[in-house]
Amino acid sequence: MVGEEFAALLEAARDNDEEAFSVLWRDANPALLRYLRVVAPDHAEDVAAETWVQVLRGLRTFTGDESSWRAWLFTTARRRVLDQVRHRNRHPTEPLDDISAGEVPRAPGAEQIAMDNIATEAAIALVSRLPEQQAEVIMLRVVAGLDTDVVAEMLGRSPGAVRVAAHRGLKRLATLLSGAGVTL
Amino acid sequence: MGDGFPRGAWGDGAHGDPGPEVLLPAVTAEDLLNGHLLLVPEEFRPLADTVAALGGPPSAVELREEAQARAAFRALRSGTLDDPGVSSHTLPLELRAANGSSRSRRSARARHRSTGSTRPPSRRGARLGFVSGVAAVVIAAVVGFAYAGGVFSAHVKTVNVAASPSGVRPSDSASGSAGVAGVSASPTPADQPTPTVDVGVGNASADRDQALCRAWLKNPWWPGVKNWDHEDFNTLSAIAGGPQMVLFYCWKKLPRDYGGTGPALHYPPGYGNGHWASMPDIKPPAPGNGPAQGGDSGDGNGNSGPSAGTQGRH
Repeated sequence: MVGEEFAALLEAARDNDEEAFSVLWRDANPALLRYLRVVAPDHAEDVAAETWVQVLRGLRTFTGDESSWRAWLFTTARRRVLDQVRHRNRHPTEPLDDISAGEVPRAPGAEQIAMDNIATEAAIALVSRLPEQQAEVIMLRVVAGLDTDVVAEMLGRSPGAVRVAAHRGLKRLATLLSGAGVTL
Repeated sequence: MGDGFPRGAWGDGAHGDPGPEVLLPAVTAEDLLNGHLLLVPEEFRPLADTVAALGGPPSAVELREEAQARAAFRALRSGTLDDPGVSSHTLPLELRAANGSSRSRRSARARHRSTGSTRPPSRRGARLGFVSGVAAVVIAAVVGFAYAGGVFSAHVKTVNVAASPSGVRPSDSASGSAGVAGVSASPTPADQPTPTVDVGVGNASADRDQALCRAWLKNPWWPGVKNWDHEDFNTLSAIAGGPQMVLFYCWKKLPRDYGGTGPALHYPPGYGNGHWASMPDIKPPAPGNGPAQGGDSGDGNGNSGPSAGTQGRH
């Protein structure tokens, strides 16, 4: 989170200050990528790029505080993911080779992702083991920094349902950690 | 949609019974979600460290698209990226059917018109022209932004990233927000001989686990890396509880001085001079004995990680 400087940075970015926009981008993009790596692991970078294009298009008309900014950013990203899902459902593709999803070659820098921040990677891998809704709620609450009401609005659920999903997800995480040999 | 996000083979969320459920008080859960990690009871420290790690400092890879983002920003400023001046929405091209539900309510005068269209051709043509223009701009902007070297890039360049103090959680989290300090990465050596797994005497099982982790970290397994021993990785995966648990498992199993000498933690050779997430109970070295490793959780570089608890210490 940027904090007290957010309002000034946003105003500067709307006034075409590239450095100000860069600060906003550097603050939010890691969280955005981590969220997308849980909800759309095969297309995280694509969706992130599309999200920022959409955000740039509406930058001058956006008004709100930093919480609203993050809510807008992650809502946009979520919708991009849904668009991709709908598109793929309408236009299913057949793989050319009989290769399972786990064997598709990745970019050579994948190991760099792992080594740059091993603890974060391990944590994301753990969250990815949760049921989809629990995983998404935890990422929106913890990584995106959104409160329960905002997440509920994004997901079209009640705040109570979001709270329950988050708590269940954390319990399951704790259980996974316990099962991995970590004393609780 | 029904929350049906696409998931890769490693993230379908269905992984069987994780074991006896842990009782997690609601207050503790809310503290975890709100970033009040210092309030979490010690018994849930591993969970708190995991939550903290989710919001850890940004990595070089997560910031590598900055140039492309700046380029898109400049395009917007120059007018190349069209800014319609309206609130953004995901689908700007929601075309309505030409014959909607209004057909049944057409006026008597309208019924005398041709049934082919309810609008004068000129207005419909102008509307389609506007929509086509917006669509072309959107497509060009997305392709241009992505093709500028971001999502279509086939190779990741080695980068040196200056310290970035940004973080995603407030500084009251246990991990702090000091950011990544001097992270650099080197490319994995190509065409290495298949790593051999040496199992020492003494605690054979623990030694084997360490050896497997060391061998794996020399050439972290990703599909397409031909010189990795699949059998070893599958063994490690079975021990760890799944392929996506291997990172976490090796983080716990390897000794503190892995990859370096003295009390400091370093990346394995070949991965530059970054710092691993520290073990939570590492004590700061005496003055003059090397870089500080932080106190309870965090190594002074803003890194923290899942706690190894009281087990698996080597």
